Amino acid sequence: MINKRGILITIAKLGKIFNEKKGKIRRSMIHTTLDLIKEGKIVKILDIYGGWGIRQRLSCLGIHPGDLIIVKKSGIMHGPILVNIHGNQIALGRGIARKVLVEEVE
Amino acid sequence: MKIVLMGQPNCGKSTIFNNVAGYKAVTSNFPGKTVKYTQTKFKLFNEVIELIDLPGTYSLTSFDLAELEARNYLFKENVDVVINVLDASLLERGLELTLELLELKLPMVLCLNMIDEAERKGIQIKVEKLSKILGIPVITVIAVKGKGMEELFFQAYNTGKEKTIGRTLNFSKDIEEVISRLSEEIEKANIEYYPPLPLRFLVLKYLEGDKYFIENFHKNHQDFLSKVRYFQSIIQETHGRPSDVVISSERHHLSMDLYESVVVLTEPHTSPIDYLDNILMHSFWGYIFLSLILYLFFHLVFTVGKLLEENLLENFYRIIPFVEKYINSDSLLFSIFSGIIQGLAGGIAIVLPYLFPFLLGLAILEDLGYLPRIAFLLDAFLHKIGLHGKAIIPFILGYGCTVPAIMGTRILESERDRFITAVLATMIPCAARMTIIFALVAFYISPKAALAIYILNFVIIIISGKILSRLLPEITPGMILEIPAYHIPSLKVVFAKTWLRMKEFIFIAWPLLILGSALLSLLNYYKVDAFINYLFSPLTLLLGLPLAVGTTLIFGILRKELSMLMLFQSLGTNNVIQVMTTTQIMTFTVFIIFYIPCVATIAILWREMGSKRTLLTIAFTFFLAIILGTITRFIY
Repeated sequence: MINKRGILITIAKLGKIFNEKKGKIRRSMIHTTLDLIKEGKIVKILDIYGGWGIRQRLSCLGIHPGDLIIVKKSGIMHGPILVNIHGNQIALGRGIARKVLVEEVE
Repeated sequence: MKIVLMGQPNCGKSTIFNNVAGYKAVTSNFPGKTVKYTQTKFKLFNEVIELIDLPGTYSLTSFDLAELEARNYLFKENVDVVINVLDASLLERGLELTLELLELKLPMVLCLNMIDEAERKGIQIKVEKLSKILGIPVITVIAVKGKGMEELFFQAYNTGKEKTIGRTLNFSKDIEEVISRLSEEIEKANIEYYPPLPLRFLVLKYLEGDKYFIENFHKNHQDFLSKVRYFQSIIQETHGRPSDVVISSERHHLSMDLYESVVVLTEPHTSPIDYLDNILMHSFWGYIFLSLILYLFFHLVFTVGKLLEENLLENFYRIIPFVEKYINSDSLLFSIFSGIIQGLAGGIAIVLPYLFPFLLGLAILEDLGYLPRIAFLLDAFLHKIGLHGKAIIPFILGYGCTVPAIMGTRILESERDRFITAVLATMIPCAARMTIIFALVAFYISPKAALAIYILNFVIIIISGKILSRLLPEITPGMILEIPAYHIPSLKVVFAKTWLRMKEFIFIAWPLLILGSALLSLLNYYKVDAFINYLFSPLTLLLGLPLAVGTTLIFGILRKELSMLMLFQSLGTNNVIQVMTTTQIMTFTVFIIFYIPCVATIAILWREMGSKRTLLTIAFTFFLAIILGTITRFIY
């Protein structure tokens, strides 16, 4: 199984690195992963934490760091997430969504 | 002249292909239905043109087998012209593949398909400007309506003659510098490439860390590989992201810029169909509608099928007593003749009534775009048996025919997922087995009993899935699936597709049925079937079936429907219920559904999975069928 704690620690680390590198971003902003976002929210992709395969695959579908996406549906019972990116709908399994680091945009 | 259709999944390559070839390649509204290439030949200006429809690929970095097939075809065959098909309503994303294809330096034409859909979405494209920037002809078409086809092939032909090669667009300065430095290194290293590819394309693939190139050419060039890694790390340091991400973001920005300079956005027109997802993908109503749609689907197939079966069978069996008047019913001629009649009748009256409405309904669901929605709804459920949502697409195709279902496993990324999905797909009652369930169980016992068989089958598949994923523990990579917009199915296409699939039955299975029937009559006449039945007696005794069923089981391996039609014949009746008890009918059906896949399925399994796994599947399904058959005998 995927080590949840490991991921959380990595996310925290990534967030820290991110904050240090780009001083512009305030520490108070919440960095979270795509699977935790509520339906209807718009988020900005900060980073994709995942191997070469996942990064490439997502980039092919038009999901790149820096892009804005709308979370349209978050499936019940650990189901997949449906996002809208550039007017196109893509379903991401929860495991994949967990590897996408995002921040909410208002 | 060899022309290939290349583009991202679900952009309409096969639809364009079918405009030229007639309905030859199956089209549906879900990404990744074309898993192998199809070709056709036609004449243009007195020259034979070979047109090849390749599987869709999001980029030239390939992940699944279907994409790999497309890429390898492009690299290895001498292609004269590439028609890059693009879904105009997804122009921005499609251009990324276009930019990549331009790096290949092949004569190319850009084809903007579904231009009407783009306009509906409020995307107006300045075609001439786009053509000027890329340096290649750009043609707008509406493939489903056949609009723009002549212009497209005329331009493709010209491009092939003139060998027009487009322009490659430049990345940021620092990336370009790394590209030129790495190019020098490749030239110095003097590595042989087969097939020969443009230097710039190779460099980009290295910087993207494409495993194919690294593993194929550089096992023995460790020093060169370390240089590649050095350049990758330069990019990583300056940009703060892995070099593959940097390259794809660069390409993304280029296509964004391109998109912005050639597109004028206007107010989109929404249609009611855009709101369908609010219900069909709803976390509660979605499941209700899924059950309702499936229930209605099977209910309709059964109602239509039953009506036709009753009427047709009655008429057909009037022929036999009529013939008896003229030919002696004990003669060899008569037994062959009645065998042929049985085969003919079986095809028309028993199989086709269920097959036709089933395939028609499946075609409508496919073209509407409902299949990816089912994948979305059932992803969580499939995770429980160690697979992910995309696996549902081969499963659904499996309800039509097992062969395309197994081919369809190519859209799955991991080999282990492909294997598990293929084994489970062989157990799904295909249209042939559906006719058995409907024509035997639902017709003679009750529709409820037929439903019970479907439920039993479903439960067994879940249990088998659980067992298989326990035996092969590996975390499935997770689903990444595009959910395309709904399309209102075109009646012409739906019927063409249904006909294409029916042809498979009419021209391959039906002659087999007739031959098989005649053969069984011969066996019967010479009393050979008694010997075969004797050989099978341990099995038939265990299952509590009439001895005469033994021979039919062999025929069932050829085609699943055969075993049912042979059953009618070997029992010497067209009213099974007089000879077999309901328990026996149930046992027979359960056994037939699970035991050994048909010959066509075995062949495709062998090709896709290898001999060892095929034999394993055969053994597994055979024992499963015996166990389930025996249980049914005592329980039902």
